Amino acid sequence: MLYERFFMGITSFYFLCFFALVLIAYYTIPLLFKKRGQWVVLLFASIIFYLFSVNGNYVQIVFPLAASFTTWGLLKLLAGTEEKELLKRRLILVAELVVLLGILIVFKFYKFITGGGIKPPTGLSFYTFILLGYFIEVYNGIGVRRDSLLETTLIGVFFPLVVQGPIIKTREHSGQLFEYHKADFKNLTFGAQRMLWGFFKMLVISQRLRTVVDKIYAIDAEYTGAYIWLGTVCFAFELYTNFSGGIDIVIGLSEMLGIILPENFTTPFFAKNISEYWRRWHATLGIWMKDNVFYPLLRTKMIMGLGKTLKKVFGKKKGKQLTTYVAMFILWFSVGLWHGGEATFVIGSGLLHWAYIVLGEVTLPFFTWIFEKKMHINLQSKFANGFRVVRTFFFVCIGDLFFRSKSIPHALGLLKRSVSTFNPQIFVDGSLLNLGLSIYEWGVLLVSLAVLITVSTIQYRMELSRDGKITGSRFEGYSNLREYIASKKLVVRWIVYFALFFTVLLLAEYGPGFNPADSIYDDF
Amino acid sequence: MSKKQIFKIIIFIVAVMWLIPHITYCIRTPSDAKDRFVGFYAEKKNTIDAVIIGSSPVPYCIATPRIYGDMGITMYPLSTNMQRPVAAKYLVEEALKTQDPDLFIFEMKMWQAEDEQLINADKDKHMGHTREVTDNMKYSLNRIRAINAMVDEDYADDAEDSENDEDDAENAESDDDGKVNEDMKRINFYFDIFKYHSNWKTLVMWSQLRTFFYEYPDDLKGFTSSDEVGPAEKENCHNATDVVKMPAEQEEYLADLISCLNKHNKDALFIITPFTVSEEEQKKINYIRDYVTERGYNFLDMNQHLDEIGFDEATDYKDGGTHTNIVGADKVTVWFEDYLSENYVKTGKLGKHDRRHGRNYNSWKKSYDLWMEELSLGEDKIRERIANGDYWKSEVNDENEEAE
Repeated sequence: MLYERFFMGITSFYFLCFFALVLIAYYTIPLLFKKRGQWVVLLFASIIFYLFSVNGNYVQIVFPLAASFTTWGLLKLLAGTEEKELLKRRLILVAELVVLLGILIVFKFYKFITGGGIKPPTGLSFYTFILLGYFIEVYNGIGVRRDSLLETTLIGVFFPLVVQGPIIKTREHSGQLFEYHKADFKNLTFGAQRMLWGFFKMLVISQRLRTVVDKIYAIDAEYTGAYIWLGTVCFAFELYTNFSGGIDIVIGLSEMLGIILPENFTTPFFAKNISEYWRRWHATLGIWMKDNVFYPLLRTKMIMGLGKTLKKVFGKKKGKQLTTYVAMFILWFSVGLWHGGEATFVIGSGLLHWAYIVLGEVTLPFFTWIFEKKMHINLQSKFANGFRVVRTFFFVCIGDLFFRSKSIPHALGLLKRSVSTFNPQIFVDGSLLNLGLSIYEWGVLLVSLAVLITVSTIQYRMELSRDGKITGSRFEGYSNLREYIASKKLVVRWIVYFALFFTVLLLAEYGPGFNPADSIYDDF
Repeated sequence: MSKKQIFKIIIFIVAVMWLIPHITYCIRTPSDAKDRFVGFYAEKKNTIDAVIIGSSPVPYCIATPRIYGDMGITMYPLSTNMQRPVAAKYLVEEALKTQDPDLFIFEMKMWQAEDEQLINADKDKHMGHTREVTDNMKYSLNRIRAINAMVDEDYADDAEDSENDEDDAENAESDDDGKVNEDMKRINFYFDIFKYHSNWKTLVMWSQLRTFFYEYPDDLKGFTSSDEVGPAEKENCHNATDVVKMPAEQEEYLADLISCLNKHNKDALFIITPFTVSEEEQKKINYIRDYVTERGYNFLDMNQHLDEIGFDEATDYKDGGTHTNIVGADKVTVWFEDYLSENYVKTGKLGKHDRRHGRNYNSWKKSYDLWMEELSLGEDKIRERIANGDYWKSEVNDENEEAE
């Protein structure tokens, strides 16, 4: 079958060939049509990409097209209404929500409700959220409506975004899709470097971690103690390198097209608390949820009414706080549901994080009192901040344990077994060699993780330097590591580029004998 | 973008594209076949008199260093395990890129087997035998053509479909099946780094690094020596005289090969090296014999000359009647030299120049010395093995014994 021969996952060889052709067409066609037509290339490429990434279920293309057509049609209707025709406008909004969210709910949450399952169309929640966000922006008068059906369709199916995001704010980013972009050296080279870094994360690190995680998290596995902690930390990094690596590829290839997308990950494991973690992890989802779920929710009659009642009972401050927690519960429940219609996702990436945040806020005064007044610990010290980072990572890992488990009983069983034995000797007695990786593979994995952590540290320090929190850093003045490397002599630069390229080519897990690298977030 | 920037991008891409095939050469799995092909490419231009193309019996049987030492003829085998006949034409083309041999010698054992049978046997080895041919060639158009001819994607699709059906039925993990499917995709042949990149660990070995240009002289000029002893266990049915048609697709490949030889105006000799042939196989070999002789080529079935060769099936095989050991190789080579002398050298078709003279052939001289050393050691070892009853055992026999 055609799709089997030329299947285009974003890490596949055919995708790279396809993208090379798109790139050539993208920069040459406008030369023939007076700087026009780039977006048509993108639309055409996006449809081809979608068809070749749905494993032969070509009919799936109907869903993003239908969502785009619906959004376009309803926005056209909306444009024909007056500002004062509130009911009509609301009905149109409801129609958009019913159609787009209806499909999302049917496909994704069907399992949550019934326990059964049907595979959703590729990228369902990403294009749904992008189109919904676009609709709501126009509805609220802060976004610009695209008059053309095909332009709206491009917003819905733009190929780098359709599979795993980032979920763009159309008012900020979609304009670039329709502008003319001249081939730019920096965009092309920096974009390619970013893609390469994504491949390194996904194929060199994440795939190896997957081997270990799959073994420890197998439903019939009976690992205990340190194995489970190792598997959980490995999964946290697997998920991070897989998802952020995919996003690096998406951002990189968009950059090569001259389209700058928002960052989705900014060194999340350096977060000092869960709220900060979610500003750094899958940031575009968080922003979307806040803009389109949380804030509108706070303005609903139900929440406002609840707020009034709670303020009466608990006083103004606590009442407001409690109201926010209730709204946050709905927000986090939605985040969990978005990740998939299973209880493990709802807890692992939703409600558990809600609980962390709420408990964190509630217990903050108590712990501050204990540490500062009783134990005389400087809470602004490096040690305290380091502790916060480790603590946050630990909590994230517990969430990830649920996220990765097959079911809640499986997760609880793992947690129970994780403390049933004290077996740190597994790290030195060769037991780790029974987890599917040879000593060489472990070597590659550890060195690669060291590179990842070093790069992340540099990125974090650059961020601190930009924010003025540290001075005198050698990376001061550079907005990213690529800029820093680009400032070096050609020999140094090329050594870095060649080393990264051949590291990926040789050490990545792909081709015959390896499981293909799936993006974990493809199914979300 | 400035011209300088465009130039930089082009230079970078060209450098990467240049490095990829060379790094691939280095990480292709080390094997006798790799050494043999790398050795062939290392031979100086137009210095080879005869090229032998065929499957695994060839490198064990024809002692090319000895032929050089005795006759001054440079002969080199481009042989691989279970070599599928479809490969022969492409190996001829490959040889002709750097050499202008007077004679091509084709070992014909595999030509009586159906290609599908060979592919199915190969599938269990992740197409390893097919890869021995395609993945030991340097990157070129001819290599692409060889892949197109040897790897049938529709065949792969059929296999995938059936495997998927089984997967669906059993709801099983498809890891191993997945591997086979991937193994049969042409893209993984064109870019064999997709397969061999996992050999990165071998990049610390000099024997791998030295193949960066895929040229490094082979010490024994493609010959593989063995000091094992595995007496022939089956009856040799070489006396069968009936004729049975060879498989149709192989006949097509043979016709194609002959037109290729005609196109290049090259002479050819078709041979069968000693092996315990079944009656069915011999009948098809007889057909091949008639086919090539009718077209003006010589056919030499060494199984018909075992007595003249002095071949002892009890001591001269290494593995029960398929490959010869070094003593068997010596006997066969000495006899083959006489055959060549009588039928080719005397008629001026081969050995026009005595290659024993001249600086270009120092590596051949060394190979002859090495061969003599290996022969002497091999003879002692084989005598010792026979005295001790230390015979080769087939894996099947081992398994049976274990089961008992």
